[in-house]
Amino acid sequence: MRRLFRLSVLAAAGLALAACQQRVDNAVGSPTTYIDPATRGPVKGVGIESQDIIGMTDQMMRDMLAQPRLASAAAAPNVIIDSEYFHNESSSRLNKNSITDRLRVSLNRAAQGRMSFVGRNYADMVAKERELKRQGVVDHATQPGARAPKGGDYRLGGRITSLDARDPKTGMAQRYNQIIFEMVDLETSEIVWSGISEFAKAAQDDIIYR
Amino acid sequence: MKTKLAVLGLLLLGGCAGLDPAPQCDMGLIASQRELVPGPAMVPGWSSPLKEMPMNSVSITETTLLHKLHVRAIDARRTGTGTVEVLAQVVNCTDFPQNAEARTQFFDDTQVPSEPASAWAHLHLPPHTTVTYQELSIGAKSVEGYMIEMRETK
Amino acid sequence: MKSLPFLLASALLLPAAVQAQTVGKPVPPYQPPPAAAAPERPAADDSAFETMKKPDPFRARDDITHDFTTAYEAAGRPRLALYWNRQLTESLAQWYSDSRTVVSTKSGRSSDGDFAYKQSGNAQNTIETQRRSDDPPRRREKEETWQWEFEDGFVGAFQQAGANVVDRAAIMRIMGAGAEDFAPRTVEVMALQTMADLLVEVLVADSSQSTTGYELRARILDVRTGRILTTVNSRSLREWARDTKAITSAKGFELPDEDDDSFGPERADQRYKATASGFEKSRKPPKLHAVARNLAYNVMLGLQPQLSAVPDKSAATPPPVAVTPAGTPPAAPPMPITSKPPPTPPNQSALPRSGVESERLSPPPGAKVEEEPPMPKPTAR
Repeated sequence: MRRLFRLSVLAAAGLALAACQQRVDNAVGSPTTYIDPATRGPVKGVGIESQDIIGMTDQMMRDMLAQPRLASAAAAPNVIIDSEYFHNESSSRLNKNSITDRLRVSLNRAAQGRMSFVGRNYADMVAKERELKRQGVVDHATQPGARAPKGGDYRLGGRITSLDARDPKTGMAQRYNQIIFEMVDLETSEIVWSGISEFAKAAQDDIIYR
Repeated sequence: MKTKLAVLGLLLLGGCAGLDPAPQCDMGLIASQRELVPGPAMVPGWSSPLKEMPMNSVSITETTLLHKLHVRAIDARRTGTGTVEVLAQVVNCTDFPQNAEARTQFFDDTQVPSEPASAWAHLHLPPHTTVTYQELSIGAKSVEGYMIEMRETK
Repeated sequence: MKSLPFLLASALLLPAAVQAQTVGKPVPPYQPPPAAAAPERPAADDSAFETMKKPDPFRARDDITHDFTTAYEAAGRPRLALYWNRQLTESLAQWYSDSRTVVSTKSGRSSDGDFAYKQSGNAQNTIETQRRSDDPPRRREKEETWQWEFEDGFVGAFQQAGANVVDRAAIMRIMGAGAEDFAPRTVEVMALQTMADLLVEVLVADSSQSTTGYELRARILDVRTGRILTTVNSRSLREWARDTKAITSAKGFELPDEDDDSFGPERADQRYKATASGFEKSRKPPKLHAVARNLAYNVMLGLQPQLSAVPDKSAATPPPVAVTPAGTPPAAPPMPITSKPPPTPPNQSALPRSGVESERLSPPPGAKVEEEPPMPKPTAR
């Protein structure tokens, strides 16, 4: 009887141990220097940060793909998305190319032929190669020649503005950021699509953006 | 006698109770009615060790929010280009403003993600208000389901 | 039997439980959306793009050249003497004096003694300095290569039209050969009279209002009568006129300022340069060669109606030049171009008829004739 009792205890202990081992190890992960760019990092201020850029470009990209004139036109429109007409008038110091580049890349990957993208910022590169081909310095390559580089149907325009406030007693800073995106018809200047991303942040940390 | 006193006390207590703002959330009922479903089986015929929220639902990933927010309704519809728009109405059941963020993963008909998950979108929920989270898919024909994940903004 | 109410209650609660799960609606089935049609526009075809192409006003104009050739041939191919950036002056004298230097010497001496000698003297010398006139017809020079390019464009257009263009320096040298004693301006007129029919005077002036940095003016004179046949000023040329249309800017459309008098040619082909930030408009003015050619075309256009007024050279040869300056009347012109004198020499020349100037006017009665000092010889230039 005592032996049976011991066996029962051992079995119960084993089961309990097994049960413990199968539980989720709900502990914090190993520290790393890599952080999720889509999430606020340890350094956080009132300016436009990586998670804001990812968030706004993702939102605009999805919104554009839901616009029939852009994403389900009978002929895929030629769009130009760059920072040439995307102006930063805010007090945030940032490279506006990081916004327009992400938007263009994500939209181009997502569009899958629904839109055609014009690399206007590569105009000199294309012009040089076309000239080399036409002067016979290099051969014609494999693709048929084009009469001229692509023109644009729509082009991205936009503006970043901000409104700053600071409490001199506490040093608390607050900034309202407004970023607008617009697609403009390059024949009629009609704005065929608009998107806005706005957020306000307040922080006491003295963050320097570079 | 004791019973009579107790009944009287309860009546008085009921009479003193103030009018709380709506909406009000019955968290017990919400918890009891939540039913997780098994995830996709890795081996055919085997049951999945994963229990998850069913497809086309909102999964609140943090306990801190789980008892504060309630998803009132979720809707899905097609846009003019065939992409899918999901709309989730989220109720802040507390007396305090809450900050949440949500993202959506769209799935195809085989319950495989059809595209990258969307970026986290911020939701600012004033006390006892309903805020609608909206997200659009990238794909059109490929999208057959969705899963919304929600967490607290930190 | 007792379980019946429980079952009924369960059946009622089950939908509620599923709804409470907050499972959303499934995604509606995909239906291909209708393709968005291209926007309706009045001119949606390619003609909308062709109208944007403005012809280059500074292009080669064979039509003008052809018409000019026809009129020019009909007028007897008058010779054109080109005066490049040199204005025909009204001044006849080569020398002038604007100063006079007077040197006075006064001396007195007296002696006392046994014999007295008294002497006094007074002398006055006058020195007049004469200067050669600055060459007022000669204007501020542009760069040499600039002049070459301009002359190529301007003269080239006339030569393409078959015009007979002669060079000022060449005809002066030819005319002045063996007549070094003549004043250059006399030789110049003689050369014009004998070796040219029309004087083409092209002037260039620096201008800050012009996009090119200079303005141009051309005049065509009949060397026999001095009649101005045509004048062309770059300010009044259509090709040089400023585009008064609204210009686009980052702020929208802007009208040019009303007090903005700037003008000047711009490239009509709106050339764009491919850069790292896209295509950028280059607002450079057209090449000088094209500007000069365009000026020539405008001169041709202005000259065409006047060419009929120019007597046919074959019918009326210009009068022989017999300019004989006072003092040294040459027996014959250094290089007579026309051997045959005109049958009836009309006084079409800008110069007086031969013999008029050579006869000195008799002084008025009672007037004291003073001999002027001889004019110093001009230094050869």
